[in-house]
Amino acid sequence: MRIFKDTQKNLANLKIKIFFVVVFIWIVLSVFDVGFNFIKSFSEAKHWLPLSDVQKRHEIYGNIYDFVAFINNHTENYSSILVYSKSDLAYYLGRYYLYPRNINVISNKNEINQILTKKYFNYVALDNYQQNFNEYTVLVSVSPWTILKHL
Amino acid sequence: MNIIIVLLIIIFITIIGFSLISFFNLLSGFCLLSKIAYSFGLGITLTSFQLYVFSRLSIPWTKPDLIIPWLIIIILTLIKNMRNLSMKIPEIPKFKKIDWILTLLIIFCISYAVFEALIRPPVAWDSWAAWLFQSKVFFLSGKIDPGILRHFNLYYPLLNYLSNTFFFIVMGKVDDTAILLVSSAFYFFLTILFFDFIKQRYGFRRGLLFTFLFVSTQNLIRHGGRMESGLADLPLGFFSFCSVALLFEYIKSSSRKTLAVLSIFLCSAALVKSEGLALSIWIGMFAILHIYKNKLYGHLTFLLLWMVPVIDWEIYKRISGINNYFLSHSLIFSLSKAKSAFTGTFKELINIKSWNVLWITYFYTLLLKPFKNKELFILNFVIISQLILYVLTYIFTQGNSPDSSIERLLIHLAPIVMLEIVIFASFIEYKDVVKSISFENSEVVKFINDFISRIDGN
Repeated sequence: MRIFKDTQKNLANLKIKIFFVVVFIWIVLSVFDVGFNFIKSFSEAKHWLPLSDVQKRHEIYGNIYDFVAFINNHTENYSSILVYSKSDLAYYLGRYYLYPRNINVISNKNEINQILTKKYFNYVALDNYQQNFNEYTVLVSVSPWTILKHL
Repeated sequence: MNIIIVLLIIIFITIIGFSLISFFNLLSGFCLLSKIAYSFGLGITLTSFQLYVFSRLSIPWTKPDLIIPWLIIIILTLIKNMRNLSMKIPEIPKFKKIDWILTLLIIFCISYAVFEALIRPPVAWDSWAAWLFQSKVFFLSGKIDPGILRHFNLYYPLLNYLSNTFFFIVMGKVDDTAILLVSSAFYFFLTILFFDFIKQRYGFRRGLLFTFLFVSTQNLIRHGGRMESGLADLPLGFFSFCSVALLFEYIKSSSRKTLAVLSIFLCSAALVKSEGLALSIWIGMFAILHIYKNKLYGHLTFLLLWMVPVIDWEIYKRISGINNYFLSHSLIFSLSKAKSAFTGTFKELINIKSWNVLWITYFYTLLLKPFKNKELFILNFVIISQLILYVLTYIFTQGNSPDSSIERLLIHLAPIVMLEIVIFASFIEYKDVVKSISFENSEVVKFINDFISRIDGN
């Protein structure tokens, strides 16, 4: 019985010892993390600080940000825009940057005509695609983007 | 310029909270640092609630309308407490070398988070696609427009959105980089609250050590300013920690005023993210248990107050035809989904890169049966119930998987997990254990012994 109790006690002690060894490893790893962050802060500063706000956003979101900024610069607030783009980010990035414009994003170019006959849009914005549509005239075109305005 | 304005708004919001705490003498036994941290949380909740009430009553969200009521409260508090005003600086204990090192390490972590928040625009998808987008919508609409919420299928609780909107209104524009400082503010105030809580109970040095271990967690830094800033997970972690700390205080003192503040923080947790509702129910349950055990039935009204805004928001959504979280995620079950829920969660729990050994240490403490201690029992119940809820959500709901979100969800629990480890470490008599290690003369053990005696101040 006593041997059993001793074994149990030793086991409990061992478990607690392991706990403190883990905490000790934790301290070492945390100091290492701080060192890593310290070094990283220099490379981050070197990379990001020289960039302008637009360049930073281009770096984060990619080419689609430039397209969204292009639409933002050439359309009015509260207008409705049909956006054609194959980018996965187009809808969410578009609604974020273009609000309060009302956007409808599609990725299939064959659907454009169909949608335009059903619904009225102030503008049609095309990414990597050149095409004219009835009742729309080219407002601005800078390769690879085009914005058409309703007549 | 906007960065300075955001900093000033953070200070203003903290003063609002502090004024209310002082005016109603709510946290009388608490230390200044804790009061400041609670004040920030209270200020965020109250200003968001103000926007919600104004919108419901069709009062326009103009700068003077929003700021003047708070200025009146601040002035009234100053007048009321004029006689008791003292500019006493709290006593600072003598710093030894180890204290300086730990303090500098903590300061570095906070500075690093702030630096990272300001260096670039929001990166995390949800940050701009959901949280900041909706705040921008509110700011430009000048109200909560149910039509817009329906149009964009926005159904999440409003606290975090409205808090960002308050910043945008006072700034007069949307600045999605400067607003990231609010995430750093949550990180900062969580740090000082955590430190003060541990310091009060277990001493200054242990407070510093465990705060350092906590704030250096890489995932926390990411949410405090790096890649994941702008999300609502850190605010939920902050509110859940506040709630637990206040619950412990309430259990100790049975003070009605502490319960009132706890009630506000439970409400904040429930309204910052959908997951917070479950968290506040687990924590609230223990407050109810305490009320029942001690026959403090008059306190129930105070506690149940937190449910009023939560129920109101649910009713508002239903009346306005806004989607519901549970209705927009249909139920589904498959073995592969269950397998991925378990493996995905497990992989994240042992992800040292994100969490250091926080979760590994936590699960190890469970092996040592910490349930005999009342506080440890409460913490473990809350943590495990919430973890089970997350895993069940992954198993049974469509469109949810640990790959995309578990790293964030664990942030809700990280502060209270750390607290569990601290209480556990202080619960066991480690000094005797370390002394009894057979390889006592080794350099490692000498270092541990030396380190522990320094922490204890011997």
